[in-house]
Amino acid sequence: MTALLTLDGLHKRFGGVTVIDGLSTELRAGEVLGIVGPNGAGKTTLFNLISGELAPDEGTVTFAGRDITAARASTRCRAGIGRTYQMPLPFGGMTVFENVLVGAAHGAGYRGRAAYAACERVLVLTGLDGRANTIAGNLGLLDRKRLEMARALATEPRLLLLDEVAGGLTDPEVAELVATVSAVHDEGVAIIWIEHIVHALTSVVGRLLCLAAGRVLADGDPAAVMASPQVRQVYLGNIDLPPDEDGVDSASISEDTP
Amino acid sequence: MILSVEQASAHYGKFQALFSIDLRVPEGQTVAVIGANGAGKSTLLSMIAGLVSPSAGRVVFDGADLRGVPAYQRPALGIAMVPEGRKLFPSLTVRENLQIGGYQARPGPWNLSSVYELFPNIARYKDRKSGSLSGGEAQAVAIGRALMSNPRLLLLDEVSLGLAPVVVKALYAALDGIKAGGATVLLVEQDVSQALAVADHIYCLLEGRAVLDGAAAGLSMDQVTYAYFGATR
Amino acid sequence: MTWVHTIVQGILLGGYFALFATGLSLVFGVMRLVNLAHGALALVAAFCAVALVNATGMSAWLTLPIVLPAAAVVGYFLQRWLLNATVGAGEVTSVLVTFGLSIIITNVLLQVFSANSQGLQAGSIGTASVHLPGGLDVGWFDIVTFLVAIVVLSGLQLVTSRTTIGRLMRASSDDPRTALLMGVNTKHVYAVATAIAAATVALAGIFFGMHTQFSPTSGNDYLLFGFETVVIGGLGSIWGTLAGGVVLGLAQTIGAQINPADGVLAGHLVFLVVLVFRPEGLFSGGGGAVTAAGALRAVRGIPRSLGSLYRAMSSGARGGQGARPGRAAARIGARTEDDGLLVRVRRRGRGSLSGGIAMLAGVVVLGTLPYAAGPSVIFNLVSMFVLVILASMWNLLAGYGGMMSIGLQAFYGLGGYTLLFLSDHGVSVWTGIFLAALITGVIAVPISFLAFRLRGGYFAIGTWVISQAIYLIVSQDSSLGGGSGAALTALSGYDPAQRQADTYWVALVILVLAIGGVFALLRGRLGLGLTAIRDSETAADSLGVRVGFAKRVAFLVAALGCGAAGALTLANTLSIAPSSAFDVTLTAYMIFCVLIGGLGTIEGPIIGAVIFFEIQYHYSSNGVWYLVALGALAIVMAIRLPQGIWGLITARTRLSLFPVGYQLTAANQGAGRRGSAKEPAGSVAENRN
Repeated sequence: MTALLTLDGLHKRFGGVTVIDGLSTELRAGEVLGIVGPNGAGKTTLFNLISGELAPDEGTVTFAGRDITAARASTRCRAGIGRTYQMPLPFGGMTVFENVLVGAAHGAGYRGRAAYAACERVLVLTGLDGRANTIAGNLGLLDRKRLEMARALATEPRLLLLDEVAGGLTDPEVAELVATVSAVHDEGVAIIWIEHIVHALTSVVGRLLCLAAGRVLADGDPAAVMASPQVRQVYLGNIDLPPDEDGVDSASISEDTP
Repeated sequence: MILSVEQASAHYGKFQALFSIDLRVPEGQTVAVIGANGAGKSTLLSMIAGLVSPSAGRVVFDGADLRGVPAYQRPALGIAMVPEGRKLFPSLTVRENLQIGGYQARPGPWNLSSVYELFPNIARYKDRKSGSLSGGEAQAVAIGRALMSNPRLLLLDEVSLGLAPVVVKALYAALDGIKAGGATVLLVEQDVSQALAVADHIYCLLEGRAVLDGAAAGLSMDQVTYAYFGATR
Repeated sequence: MTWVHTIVQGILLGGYFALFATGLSLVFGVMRLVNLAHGALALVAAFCAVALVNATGMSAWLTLPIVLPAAAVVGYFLQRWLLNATVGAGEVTSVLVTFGLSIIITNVLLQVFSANSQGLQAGSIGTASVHLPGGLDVGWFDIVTFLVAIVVLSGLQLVTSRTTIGRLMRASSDDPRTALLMGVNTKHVYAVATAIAAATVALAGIFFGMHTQFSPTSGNDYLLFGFETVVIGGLGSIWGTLAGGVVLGLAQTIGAQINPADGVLAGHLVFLVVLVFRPEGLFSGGGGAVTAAGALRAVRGIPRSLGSLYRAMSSGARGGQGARPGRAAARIGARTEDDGLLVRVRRRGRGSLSGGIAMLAGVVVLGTLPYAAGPSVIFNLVSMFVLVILASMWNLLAGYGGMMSIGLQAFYGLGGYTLLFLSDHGVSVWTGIFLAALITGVIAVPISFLAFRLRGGYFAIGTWVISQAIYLIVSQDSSLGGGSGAALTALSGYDPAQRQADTYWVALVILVLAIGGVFALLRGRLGLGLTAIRDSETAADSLGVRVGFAKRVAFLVAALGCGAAGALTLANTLSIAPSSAFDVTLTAYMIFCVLIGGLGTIEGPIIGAVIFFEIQYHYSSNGVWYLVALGALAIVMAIRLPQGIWGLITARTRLSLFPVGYQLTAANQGAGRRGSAKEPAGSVAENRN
């Protein structure tokens, strides 16, 4: 089966620091891939390389058979790559509905009532339907995160990049989030999800990739990856935490948002 | 008690980042603040450094309330910060970065040569633009820069961010030298084991609240994990 | 031999330009502030020197040790007390405030010194020349200036790279927040930078005043020369500034050699060429004393500042909606796609239906006015319509597209002159107005490619330069009347009252078309994209909005509107002259209107224009003090009340006369029945393109 997304030999440097160091991997259509790794491992930079905010110094990005390495973000979005940002960037002067409409109208290309229907669907899916007329600038952090997801979903992506959407959520909220992501996956959307809260990831992803110092450290079955000694070393230092029943390490050392 | 945070809250617009935090740092001790994503650790340090004003409560340094003291006046009082992400000035050389740190220097043992002694590997980059250093080297310069003001209270924000474990160990090894110079250290750390290894006292923050507060030696990993992830998990 | 002379002159002229440019690039480098009052400050120094010379009879040289330190002090406190307030607020506010400041200064100077040209005597050095082999004569004074420029630049290089204050400036430029942590009082550092800039530009002003005559309106030229030098030379390289000045100087002298009136124009053209082929400047790069990388990014980077200005304005106006759960909490059940739309999307705002009817009635009433009112009323109303159109266009570009331009007068002038041209070639004036607008829109296409090379404050000035270039070209075309202008003769056979009425009706039609057009644009998909760009260009880009295209459309529509306005003015006043048709004061008026009425809404500029027109009508006879007051008002509004009067009104009443938003309301709930759904579910997918 041909891959939906292929990353080949990506390198990215900022000044003297190499953030992505020869990264190659593939993603099949409809696959759900989780990415974990300590702070500063290059996860968000990787997303920026995939979604088009950054161009790599070396290497290529291929999506659905097309080389998109040089394409800008809006082109990639219309080609089917959607993403959320760690720091939500809502259109602060527009309502929630209008925010989502931008995605539906420009990213997915819907017009008229079809665009409205697409928005409505997404708002219900992300639980924002009760706040459709709220000005986005007035939303709390949680709703902003929901809005990020809703907007990205409104562009009807074939590949959705989720950047730490579960941070700060309580358990019931995490469960709701997982349900939403599963529903999206059920529609055939491929998903790459960066997350620190590993138990949220493991309920949805079929494959886990651990990134450290800009390189792939481990890639495969989630349980196996989390149990591998190198991965635990990189997260926890010298501490040995007992794994829980299903063999997956439940610890999740998270990033601090500035 | 060199630093005393008393019932301090902090807001970013409508979003409340800290809820009535109480924190005490005895002079000469090392206090670590740990916590998960979004817990408010960096906000706490920014508040002590003066970049964020408390919306309630107060920050007391050496007996004096810091309300109304702008951030740029705090190094002269003895508070110096190593910000998260190092934040060196990219168009300045290593030496110039250190010199800026010494702009409001108080009397004390730290100056260019003693900093170079503490971190020998950066001495050879004296005249190199700081944007071209590796992560570990940049972190050393950032710490040195803060030391140049001869602080009484050194704030370290996520020193281990993005660095390999062996580099982190080397940086923390310098901590002894720093403490010997007379500084009290308040650090924020995401690497729990590292924090436990260097601190005398631990605070754990969860979603803006302090949920754990105890001497490091007396804490079990269970207690820490429990506090770190919250009772709901 | 004259060519050698020309080249030498050009190189030496570069010394003056480098002096003008130094302060501009220093201030931009340290605090990302584009100071549009920079040229005016040079002029103030020159005029102070004149005043001193006139009062005491001292040599012009002796004024230097008096004026330069005074300039430094003024610059320090100007930054500390006024401009520091704009540094954090983004490039937009600083452009507005410094532009307002330059207007105030220019008009105060006009009041005190009148519009006459002045000069400073350099004494014997001014006329002495060096006799070089080959019969080449070079003025001593020009050589001295060039040397002074080298000294000043070297001095600045030394200060920024070797001194503590230089280090502080570089650090504050890199990262002001961290600089605070190091104990650096950034407010003070910024003020020192402006003090240095003020002193250098005062030096430039006095020296240039000894070289050429100047008048209170020369400040604009100084600013543009300094700006062109910075862009040609490239940011961040101090010697690049000197090189940029030399290139500009050469362009001007060689241009003047080819055609005496074309010197400045040649400079503009060279600037535009550099912009096309090497927008980062000819000599840009590292090694510069004041940091380049961040400054370059800021010039070419993403302007978030307009979005934040808008947010400040709109949060008052629309913030209340979040607190009205009644309408918003139409909680929708789990059933969705199969039933079609569960909610209705309301495009109407509060009061928009009654407001719309009222406005239509108003248009009808206006249409009958020629029968009821006298010719001067009609004449003034046309002027007011023109102002409304202009303000709306500037608002479309700035308030929705996020692009602040100080050059829209270019299209106003082009519209007028195109009409003149068409009319001289037999086209009926009434048709000609519409054609002129369209042609202006077409001309704007290649101009947009030039202008879009720049961003933020540099885009603002760049469009000004383009406007000046067009102005110079037009004023040399004798078939269009040259510098003194021309009259629209085609209408001279008409009965005046009839002509006025006809002009009025065409103006009314165009007004309705313009406002209606802007409304239609903003209500549609592209308008949605533009509003998104205004709030966050990055996010809009990542959601698939074609950002470049949307901005270009906004630019072209604005050009079209301004072209129509210019053509209408010609039909109304029957004469046109380059200096008024391409006057930058037009942009000042547009900005005033929008600031008064409120940026980022359709209603705001209309209200602002009407109010401003009234103010203009009643008070403009007060001469320059009136403009001074306006400049001050602009500054205050930009800082304190960015949402304008309409913003205040909507904050209280949530009125929306031109609704462009989308409101959800609950549809009729009921099992299986959807009152609002018209299509079956299948068509939803088919509608996608």
